[in-house]
Amino acid sequence: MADIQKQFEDFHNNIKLKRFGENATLREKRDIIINKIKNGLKDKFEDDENGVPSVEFIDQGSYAVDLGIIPEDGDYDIDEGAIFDLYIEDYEDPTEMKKWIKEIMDGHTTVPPEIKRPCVTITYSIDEEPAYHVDLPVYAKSKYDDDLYLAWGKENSNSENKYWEVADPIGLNDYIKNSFSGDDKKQFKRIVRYLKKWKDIRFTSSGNSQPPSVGITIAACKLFSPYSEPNPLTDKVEYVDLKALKNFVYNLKNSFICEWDYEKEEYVYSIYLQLPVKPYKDIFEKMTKNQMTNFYHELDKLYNALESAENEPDPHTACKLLVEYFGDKFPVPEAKESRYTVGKSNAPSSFSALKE
Amino acid sequence: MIRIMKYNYMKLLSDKQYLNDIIGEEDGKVYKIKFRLRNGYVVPLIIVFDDFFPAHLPLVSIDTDCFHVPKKPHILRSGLICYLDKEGVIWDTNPSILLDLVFERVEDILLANSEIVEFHREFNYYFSTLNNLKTAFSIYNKTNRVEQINVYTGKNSAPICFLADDEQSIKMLERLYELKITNLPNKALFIPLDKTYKGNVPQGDQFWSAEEIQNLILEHTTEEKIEQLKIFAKNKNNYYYLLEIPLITGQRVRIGLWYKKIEGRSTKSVPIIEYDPSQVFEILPIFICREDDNSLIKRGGGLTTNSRILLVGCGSIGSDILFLLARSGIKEFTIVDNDKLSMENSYRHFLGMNMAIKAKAKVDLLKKEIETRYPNTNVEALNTDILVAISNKQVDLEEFSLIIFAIGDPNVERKLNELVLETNTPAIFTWVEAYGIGGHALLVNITEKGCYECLIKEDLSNYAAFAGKSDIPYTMNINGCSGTYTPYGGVDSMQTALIATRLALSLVRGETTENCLVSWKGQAKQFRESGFSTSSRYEESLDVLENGTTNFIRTDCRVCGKRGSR
Repeated sequence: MADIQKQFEDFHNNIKLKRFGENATLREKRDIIINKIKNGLKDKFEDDENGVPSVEFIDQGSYAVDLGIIPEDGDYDIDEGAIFDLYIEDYEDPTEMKKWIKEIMDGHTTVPPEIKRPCVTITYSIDEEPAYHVDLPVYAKSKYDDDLYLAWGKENSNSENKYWEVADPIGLNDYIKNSFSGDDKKQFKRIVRYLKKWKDIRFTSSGNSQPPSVGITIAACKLFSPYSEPNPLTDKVEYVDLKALKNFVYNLKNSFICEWDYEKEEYVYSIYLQLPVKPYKDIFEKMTKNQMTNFYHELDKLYNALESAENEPDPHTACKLLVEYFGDKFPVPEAKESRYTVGKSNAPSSFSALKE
Repeated sequence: MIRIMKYNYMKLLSDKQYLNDIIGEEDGKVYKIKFRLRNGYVVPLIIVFDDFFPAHLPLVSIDTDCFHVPKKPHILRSGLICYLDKEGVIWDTNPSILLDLVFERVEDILLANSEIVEFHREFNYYFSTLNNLKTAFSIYNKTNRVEQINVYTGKNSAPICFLADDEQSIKMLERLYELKITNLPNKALFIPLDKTYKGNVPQGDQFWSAEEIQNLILEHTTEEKIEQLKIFAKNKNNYYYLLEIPLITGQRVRIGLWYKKIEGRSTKSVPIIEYDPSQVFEILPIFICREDDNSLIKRGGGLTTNSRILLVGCGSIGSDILFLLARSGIKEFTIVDNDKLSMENSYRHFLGMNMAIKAKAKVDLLKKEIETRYPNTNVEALNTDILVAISNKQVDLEEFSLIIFAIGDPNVERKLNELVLETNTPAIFTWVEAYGIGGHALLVNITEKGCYECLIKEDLSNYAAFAGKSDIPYTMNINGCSGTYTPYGGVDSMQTALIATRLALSLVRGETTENCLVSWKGQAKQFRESGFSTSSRYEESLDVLENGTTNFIRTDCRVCGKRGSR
């Protein structure tokens, strides 16, 4: 087995969002937006008889749970939930609060803010290219329970696409953060990042053809087991990401349901994975059967590649195999031939008494 | 006095990008280095050169002061890395390139997986590193039963040889050790395990404990065998065991165990499966050198068939053929010759001068020599003329897998050829020509056409011969008639024996499927200077001569010409 743990760890360093690098800039931008919205609301509702609505913000997404990777296209993203201390019963139109934010943020960036179905998106750009964007999902409360509700819908959506849906962004963050601890958690984070990178490399980014990141994260919370073993070279028990990843991919593959499609005359695969918090819906619900089948086949190829890498004794060859799946951020150690000028050595047939 | 090459090892090592922190004296031979593997690990090593680098490779070992010794195949417990089995490799003598070779191999070992199968593959090697190891032979051949066998012991009851309890094995032991055995009081138990052993391979100071051995037997052997083992319970101070253990690699390895009682009550037991803490044994591992046929002959590159060979003529060619065939694993011979070994021919005879001085029959001397060298070989010696032996039914040509005639007498050979063609037994005729111009081996009676008679031309010259027709005999005479001899050397007879033996072996292996004539050709200078001329066949290419030809076959041969196609 090729020991390529160091290469995996270097790969991880190459792709992860650094806490004090890219993240700090993002945090700064986030704070600017938060303040802008708070102040904007103050200005807008200063004279309103109900007073200024109070809003709190929570970090969401990979950024909140420290599972981010450097984006392929350079477009960083932050998910920041805006929780209004208002009751959904008083706001039949869930897009109303989204419109407030859009209004407040309008003119703040070159690209105007956009209301999307689950959020408001603020796009910052550098030299006309999007440099990062902040997605702001909007939540409100209910008079009848302690839950939060997410505002769905665009300004012009028809009424059945505009609704409040129960959600638990804080619970989700906690669920992910508390799934593992200590060094196991570090391996968990590495494995999730490897797969996010794999997803970016192997799937086109348009539409729902990519499995959602949160799906991979939740699947890892449920199906990943930390793996370490004694390293005979160093005589220490060490994490082996290659095997941990392979085992997880295996488990994920086995979560698919296989059916025969009579029309296409081939097997189609589907996966169902429940969100562990409210509204407990299927994380992969937006993917079509075709997309899921493709997802399955890609996992299968990845599994085979990981297995080949595991069986390959030479670290150069093993890593080269993986570049196809993880991209060129995956380091490849030098080849035997390029390091050693072994020149000519030969095993001739003329030596007598070769050992048995 | 060998001039010693001096290299600047420090510079050689420093030039390698993958080596760091090199510590050693400028003109010394011992260096501490940090070796960076391609996958990023850094391993501290010690490299030691000697005066004869690059004819000798440097020793490389783990620097145990700052690193543990990895449990990997080819890394000894001392830390020494056995990176090259130097037999069979020729390396570049450029010192820089050679260092690359060294570190490439060292890296291979450090990167190699350390799965248990790798240790099993080298089981015997690791076992041989055990402390307090004894060594014994085994001439006990394979069975799959639990069996009580003999163990021949030496001083202090130390085991020397494991063998079956039968006459043949005892005879072989007697021959091997050149002694007469009247009584073999010590017994051992042979225990062949049934299930594949998947555990660790003992090495160095890590031998199995009594409990581990007990578990090894109990967990890998059928209940039936365990019951059989119990029948052999004895009350002894020394218990010997010969185990056969199936390994992950599919091989079956044999090891021996010697249980030496140190203290404890006297009671009947089988300590190997009845671990009893009240009885204290010193358990000594025994490395088994296998003397049993199959493993040895295979190693010698030979055959393990049951061929029985009749060799007629035990002169210089015949004696060499016998020796070569015995070396190749043929075990059953009948040899026929009515001559005594004489001092005059002792230089070109296999037996040599110390045997010639005994002035005894060649067959008797050869039988003794071959059976002593290869104790499991049986040689039947007939000190008689072959034609007599056939006519009085002492020899039945049908009984043999192959007959080899090395008598160098064309007239007798023509007669023998006729007799052979009446049987189903293949035969090889072989002879050497004078002055080292060549030698021949003719295989007949495999196919219908082609026999010794085909060689005899109308003018009575031999088709195969390299010597041209001559009226002067090629013999020489030093001392009147009794001293007549054909001038050729030991090398020539041996070369002839070689082509005849190769032909015999390829027949036994089933590689040769038709009658053929094989020859070797030597220089003709001395022959021509003595006034002789070579034949036209001498001019044929080595290819044709050495690879065997069927060109000698005559359809109008008076002996084989009438035979139909088989």
